[in-house]
Amino acid sequence: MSVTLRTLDATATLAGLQQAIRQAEELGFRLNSFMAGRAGGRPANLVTLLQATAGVEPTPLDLEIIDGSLSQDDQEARLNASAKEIVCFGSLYVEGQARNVAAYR
Amino acid sequence: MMPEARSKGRACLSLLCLLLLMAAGCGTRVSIITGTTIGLKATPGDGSTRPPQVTLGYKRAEAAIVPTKGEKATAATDAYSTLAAFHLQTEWFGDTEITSFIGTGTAAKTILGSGTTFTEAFAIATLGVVPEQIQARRKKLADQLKPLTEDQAKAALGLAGYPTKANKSAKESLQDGILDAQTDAQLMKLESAFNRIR
Repeated sequence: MSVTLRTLDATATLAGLQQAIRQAEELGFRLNSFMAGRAGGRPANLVTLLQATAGVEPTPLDLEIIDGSLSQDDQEARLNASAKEIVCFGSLYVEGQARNVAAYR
Repeated sequence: MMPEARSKGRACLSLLCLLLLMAAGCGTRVSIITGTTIGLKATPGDGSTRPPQVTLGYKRAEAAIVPTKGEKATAATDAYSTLAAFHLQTEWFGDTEITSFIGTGTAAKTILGSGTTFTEAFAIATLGVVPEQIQARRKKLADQLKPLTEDQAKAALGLAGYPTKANKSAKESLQDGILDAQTDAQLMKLESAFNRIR
């Protein structure tokens, strides 16, 4: 299964980022990871998607900002508080600001 | 007013504007004037005899009046530099973006250096939210992709003018093409290719 790497709008809202990933998943892609990194030498929201041309469509995923001012243990507790399964946890630019973001399904 | 008199009136007005601009230049401020006119025309073809046509017209004028007072510029008082940047990005049959930027003085010089806000702008997003109508057409293509064989996918890629990507199968490359199709024109190319391999 190959990986597709794309960049998400670093100035978008969390809802906008979530919708962009959901639309990609509706086309057979599955979110693998995301990070606030660099592309072409510039800051970028990098997202890796696994390519799945067969199989059932997954349930829509949700993105949630985890407060970066919380301690390590408090962030871990927040991640485990959701009844949903966590897909990945990383950093994303949300409206231009780097945030800790969790993806649940 | 007679045409000749009107012409003289315009000339006087132009001279007055020029004098005002020159007078402004004698003060302590920098004056920079920039104007850009862009004309875009895109005509889709009829699929048989008339090919798609695109026409771009571009006209730009800039002027700057910078007082020097015979003094050398310093990091604190430099007023010599002006910068006017214009960025046009178009997909012809899709979205068009225009960005204009003006900087003066020390900012115009330092803004072009590495590590500045200007050069640290975010990378252009390649995955964004598309209108529901576009998404519905992409989903239909994604469904049509599932039963395709590798040879059929390769044929569809060729018809759409897309290459097979490095280290990816034709089917995976075609799936990427569907993901990247965010405009009507891009979707039409893929839809046409899918229809022809049936």
